[in-house]
Amino acid sequence: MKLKSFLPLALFLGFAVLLGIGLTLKPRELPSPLIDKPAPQFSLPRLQQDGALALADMRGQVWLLNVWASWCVGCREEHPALLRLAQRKLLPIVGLNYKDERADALRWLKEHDDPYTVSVVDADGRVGIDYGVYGVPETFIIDAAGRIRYKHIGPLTDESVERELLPRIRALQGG
Amino acid sequence: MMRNASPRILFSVVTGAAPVGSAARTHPANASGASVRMAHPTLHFLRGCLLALCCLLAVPTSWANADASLDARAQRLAEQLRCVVCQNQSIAESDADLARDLRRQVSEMLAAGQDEAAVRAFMVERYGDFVLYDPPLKAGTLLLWLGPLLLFASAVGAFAWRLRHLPRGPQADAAARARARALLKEDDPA
Repeated sequence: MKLKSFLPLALFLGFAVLLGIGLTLKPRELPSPLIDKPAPQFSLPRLQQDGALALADMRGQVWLLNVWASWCVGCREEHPALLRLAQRKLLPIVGLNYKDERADALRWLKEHDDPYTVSVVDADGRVGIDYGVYGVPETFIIDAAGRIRYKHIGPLTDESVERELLPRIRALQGG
Repeated sequence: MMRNASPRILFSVVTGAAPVGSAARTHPANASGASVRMAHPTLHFLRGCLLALCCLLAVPTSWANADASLDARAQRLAEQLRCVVCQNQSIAESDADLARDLRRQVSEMLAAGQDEAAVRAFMVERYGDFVLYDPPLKAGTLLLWLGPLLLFASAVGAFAWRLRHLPRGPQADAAARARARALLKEDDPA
């Protein structure tokens, strides 16, 4: 009898907890179906030099693929964190310059400094589609065997680099 | 549309049928056209030639129709795919850059002879089941499909349980009822 009178309260609390969890979820961050799958092939022209870079060229090392564009506001936001990560020279960072104008992209790198080991040009966004890119910036960790191991959606921060990326990178490099 | 136009006009010349809304239908000189049409054998022969020509012309027309049906298929498919940027719109409705690129992708794949299932698989491979407005029934989506049903069933169950266990008030026996009537009578001013 006493227990029963607490039932509505219990129901309400359960519901409140559920809704509370719902509030902390980020529906814009979709889990990528590409995790632990081989990274899609590409061969794209380099932004700053002549020649192309293909997925196969990166084989044998753990590397970061960072999708960016000069028109992307979030990229500006994450740039300092990316520069600091690049300074530590832990791994190559490949920039995928996504649906950008070459001149704009070059100017952007000159103005904000260049954290990328190399940037490649995905002018029509087809490689972006293959990688399931839907919100720039996005960052992928790709292992030595060429598999995608992690995807970060949205701007990186020092904290997310430290907490999400580095432990995974170290584990992959150690193994 | 434009590629359709010329065979259609030729067709109307051959059969004497005028397209709806065309001037020929209301032209007074054309009023007796029917009797003239059958009169001359050479005219008959010419019509036959024209009809043959028309059939030849109809070949590219069917290509044009294939184009149109391809567009329609691409449109139908685009309506079933969620735009992952705007999430509450399909890629057919959305004006987002990515939606435009994905529409192009759909059209290209269909034009290359791939079927709807292949295009859907292509999208799911890259963006997950979330891109489908009609996601498949599998372990990961079980709760999505059965959740509403479960909620409804538990609501009905709870309601039935409540009904069965409704507290019954004490039934008044005959003596109590008589006493109540007497009390009511006492209070009655009449």
